[in-house]
Amino acid sequence: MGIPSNVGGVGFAMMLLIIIQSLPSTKKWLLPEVSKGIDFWNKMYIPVVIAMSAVQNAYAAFSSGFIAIMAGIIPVLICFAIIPLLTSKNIRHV
Amino acid sequence: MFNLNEVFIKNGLIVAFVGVGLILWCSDLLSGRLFRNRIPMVAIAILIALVIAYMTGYYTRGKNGIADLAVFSGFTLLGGSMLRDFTIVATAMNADWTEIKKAGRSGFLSLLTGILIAFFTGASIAFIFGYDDAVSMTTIGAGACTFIVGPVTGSALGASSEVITISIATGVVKAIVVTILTPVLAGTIKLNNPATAMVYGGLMGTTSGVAAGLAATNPLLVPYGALSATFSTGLGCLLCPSLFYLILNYFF
Repeated sequence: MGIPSNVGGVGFAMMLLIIIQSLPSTKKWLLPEVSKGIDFWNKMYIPVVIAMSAVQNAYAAFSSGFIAIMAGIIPVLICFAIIPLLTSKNIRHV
Repeated sequence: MFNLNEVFIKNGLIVAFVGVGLILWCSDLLSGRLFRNRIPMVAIAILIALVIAYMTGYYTRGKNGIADLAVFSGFTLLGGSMLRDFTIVATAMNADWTEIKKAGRSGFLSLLTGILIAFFTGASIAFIFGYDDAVSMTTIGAGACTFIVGPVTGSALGASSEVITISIATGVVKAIVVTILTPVLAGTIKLNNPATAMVYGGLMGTTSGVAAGLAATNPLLVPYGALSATFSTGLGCLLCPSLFYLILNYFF
């Protein structure tokens, strides 16, 4: 498709892993060694995120003009503001 | 002759691990001594990393933060999207399927809401600043979704390289703002349960920002937020160059 990134495959992979560890019939695939291995990469997540922050193009992002800064900040603020609205709806339904 | 630089460049990934270890050690000291554990250690570490990225970007004018210094080039491998996606999948080990089923519908709703808000706010801001043609507005609006949706949409619609650069910058600003604001606002928006984390991930959409922001807030919530956020880029790449462009094209 010419898209230089993963478009949802990660989400499906996560769902697969969650389903495998939730169903009794597939849970036995996760031997202690396997679980330990996956847990290792789970913990490795923090260093990866820190390294990822260190290679962001932060200087270019904040010096490429007012549009980028406004269009980057304002939607985030709106989204933060409406989180309580969406979650309270969910609790009422449940 | 023994050359230390060469050894560092050859073992880039190891240098990156040591570097991250040093950053974490410093933030542990800062978190404990200076802030008496009120600010999570990981939040400080990510902030330090962002400041380093900003400063090296200022000096080298490169694109990859600290990795533009050859001795630290291993950071692109450790912090690249391959290991990021791989470790995010591994965080699903701690997720609970019943929690996800419970929040599934509002998670999907938040995904759509997040893309709609980001796109149309971004496009409006582009319009206010004088980019009043549908292609530029769509590209900058798409950049306000994530920094991948922006260039994908821009090149699909044939936007100018100047506009594509703005859209990437918009996405990177968004990722950084989400990273910094999440631990700050987590208490206010009650981001302390899987359902809220899924709604939050879907609304914000930027996997990098959500992944780092939640790591700095509470690592147990990472799988829920990341799960909905990882679908956002795909949905954005699908909607922005097609439906959203047609809508804007109709009006402008």
